[in-house]
Amino acid sequence: MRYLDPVALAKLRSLRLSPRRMTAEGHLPGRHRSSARGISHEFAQHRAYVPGDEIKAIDWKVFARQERFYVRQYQSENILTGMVLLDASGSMAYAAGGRPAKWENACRLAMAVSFLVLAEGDSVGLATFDARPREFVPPRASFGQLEVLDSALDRCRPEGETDLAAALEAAAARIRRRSLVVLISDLLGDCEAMLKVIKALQARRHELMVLQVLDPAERDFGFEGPTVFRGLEDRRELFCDASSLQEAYREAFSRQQRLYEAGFHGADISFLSFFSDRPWEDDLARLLGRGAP
Amino acid sequence: MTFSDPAVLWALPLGAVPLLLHLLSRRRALQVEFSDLSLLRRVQAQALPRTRLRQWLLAGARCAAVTLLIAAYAGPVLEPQAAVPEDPAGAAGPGGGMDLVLLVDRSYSMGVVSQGRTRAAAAREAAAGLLRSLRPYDRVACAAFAEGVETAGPRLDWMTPRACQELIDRSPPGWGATDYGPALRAAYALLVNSRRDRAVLLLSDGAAHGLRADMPPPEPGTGLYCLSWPPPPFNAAVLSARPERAGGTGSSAADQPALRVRLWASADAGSALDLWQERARLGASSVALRGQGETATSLSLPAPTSVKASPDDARGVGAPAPTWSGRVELRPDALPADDACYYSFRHPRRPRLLVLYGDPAFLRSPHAGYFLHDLFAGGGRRLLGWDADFAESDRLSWSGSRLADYDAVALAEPQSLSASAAAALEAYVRQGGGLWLQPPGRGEAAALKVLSRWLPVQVSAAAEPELVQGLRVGPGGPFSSWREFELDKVTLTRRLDLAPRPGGRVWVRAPSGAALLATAGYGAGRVAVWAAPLDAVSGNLPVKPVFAALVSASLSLLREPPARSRSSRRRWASPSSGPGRARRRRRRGCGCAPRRGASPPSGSRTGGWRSPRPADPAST
Repeated sequence: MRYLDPVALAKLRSLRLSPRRMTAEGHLPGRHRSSARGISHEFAQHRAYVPGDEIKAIDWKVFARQERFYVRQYQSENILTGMVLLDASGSMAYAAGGRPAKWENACRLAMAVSFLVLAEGDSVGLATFDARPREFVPPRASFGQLEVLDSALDRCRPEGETDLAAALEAAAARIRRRSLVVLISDLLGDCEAMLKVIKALQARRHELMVLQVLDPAERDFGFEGPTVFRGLEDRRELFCDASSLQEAYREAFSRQQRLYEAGFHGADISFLSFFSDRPWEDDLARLLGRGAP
Repeated sequence: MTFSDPAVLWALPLGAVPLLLHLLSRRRALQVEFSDLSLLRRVQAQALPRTRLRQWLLAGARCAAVTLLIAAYAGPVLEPQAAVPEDPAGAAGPGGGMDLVLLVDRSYSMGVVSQGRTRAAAAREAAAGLLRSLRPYDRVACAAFAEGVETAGPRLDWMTPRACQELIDRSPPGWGATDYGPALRAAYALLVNSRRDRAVLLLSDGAAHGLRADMPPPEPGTGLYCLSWPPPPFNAAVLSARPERAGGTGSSAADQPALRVRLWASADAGSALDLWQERARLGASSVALRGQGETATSLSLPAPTSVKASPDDARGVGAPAPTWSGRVELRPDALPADDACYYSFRHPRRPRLLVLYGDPAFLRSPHAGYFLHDLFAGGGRRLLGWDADFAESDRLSWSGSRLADYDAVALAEPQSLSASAAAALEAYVRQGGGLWLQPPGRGEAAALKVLSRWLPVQVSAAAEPELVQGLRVGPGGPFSSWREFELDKVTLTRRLDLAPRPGGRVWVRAPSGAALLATAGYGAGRVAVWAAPLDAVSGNLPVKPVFAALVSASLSLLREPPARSRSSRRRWASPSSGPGRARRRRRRGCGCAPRRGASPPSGSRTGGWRSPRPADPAST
């Protein structure tokens, strides 16, 4: 696999991805508790008998004490569905200073999260998008899914503009059950709109984890003098005196990051920024170690 | 506002250069790809108005700085729009202020020292004070002049007072004469369009001859002012110091050198005139100078014997040509630059003749020496332009004699010649000398027998006595016509027979055709033989006017170049080599006798003018 080499696998084996509060939905039994009542060894509650309930579910000991029919219900346990939403817009192809492109890091992160989800016995799928959904791999609970995901990422190339709101709307429409949604993107664009869309996605009772992939040059903005910037998404040019805008850009970027952190923290969404100049495995371990799902 | 140098304002478009650089800087912008420009656009949108304002303010400030710099270089001069109450001159002039043109004289006379400083320095100080007193709205122009006009630019134009002062400071008095015309014309041309108060100030010494031609009057309202000077101090000048030529032909300028000095003075006065020879002051003489006119005087220079020998003398080539150099100097006065005049000249040396005689009574009458001595040096005159020394042949040490110091040797009336004397004479003639033989008074040829071995003219006693009545002179020679010499009245009672060998020539004959004067070449020299004695006993030739002409002609014949025919050279030339050949070449080149660095028997040195004669083809 291109994006998941044995070294990375060895590092990921010590990590576990466990949702903090979510309950799984579905029909397949798994390790995650479900909100539904089903067949398991763990007693959930008694419920008054209603016509139609199975007779064998009546708790006869309770009837002997209270002379009323009660039915015993047990906690259901299902597998978790993980969905990796990967931003494949043109800005993800950015690379500077000889460092790997953001797309490279994002793919590795997607494969690592997928591996962690599969390692828990859950299913994982993939959806890439730019301004609209592009690639969709339905979730499966098999390690063979890693090969499928790797080949899907290999086929995909970052290009085009980003419309995260529309793309997440379309992706959410294809995720019917409550799932673990891992959004991997650079989150460059309209900060307020993105927060709004992400919170709307959370309102559908999905467990969300946002991984922001950035290049240090986007944070430091170390350009000097008159510069013509050419955007990787819209291919338009912008001429400015980089020296005069340096401080203002850094301040705006910092303000944007603080807004993301505050927004995600308030919505109890796991969020971490991954920069290309640091090993992504360490950042991921730090994220999972502090109680990420 | 006006500008002192408005031409500089043509550079004002350069003020837009910073703006062009600002606009062109976009072409040099770095091209960079960036991930997402939305944040950058927002940042720029917020900062753009402020950034743009700052950039345009910066570009504007740069343009303004360049423009102001150019304007400052053009020399702005503020002037009021109307009469200013604080400006009393503004109320008088229609435009306010004054236009002043300074004309600085840098002629030679401005170097006169008066009251401890030159007139140029006084004019400079006056100009400095005037320039300091100018008001900001006054305009000033300045030019220096002598015989022409010198301006700071291509033409006379308004300047800053500082530029005027710099021009005046770098205009010291030169060597030119004074001419006000061009400077005044330039000043009037500059002021012709001025509507302000106008003035032209001549910083000159007011030389009366400064205006060489009629000048048009200036425009009405233009004032012409000059500086006033104290009365001019006394000044005298040495105009020239040239060697004075001798008046008569017999006296030599080299013997009595003198300088003719021309002096000029501004007023009648007496002055001391110092004569310097090299670095030594020979003396001083008092001269009465005539005011506003020339005064000439003569100064005697030392005789050539006391003059230092020339470098040629040190090499031993021959007697040097006497030279004199030094200066004539007046005592310093108001203008010390013209108080000295330097001189340097040289007198060519005269040809020299050594007259050798055998009879001690040769110099007494009626012997020929009496007439020859009178001809060459009698009474302090030199009729023939030769310097002659007389010596008795018997007393002469032939081995140590320096015959080569003479251009010709006259052997007159020899009685007996020794073999060494004959050998010395032969060597002398062979090496380029001239020998003039005069037979003894008795007309005997025996005395010349010792010379017959090499003499190119065969001399023998006449077969029978013959009275020669009259002379016939052949063509050529120094004189073109002999008619006025009364050749027919010459009488000779004794003579010898002359037979020149091939290559020789008979120049004077008797009416019978007998040769009286024959010449022939021998080696590099020539020999002339006169057939008859030159005393007054053997004829009347010494007392005839033709005597001096014949002597002169004979000496001239001796100085002719030797024969060039191959036959004569093959027959008469001796097998000499080395120095003799070199001496022949030198003698052919300059036409003079061989010389050596030695003193003649008399120990005196003489000099004179010598005119080299061209080679006469007929004599060969």
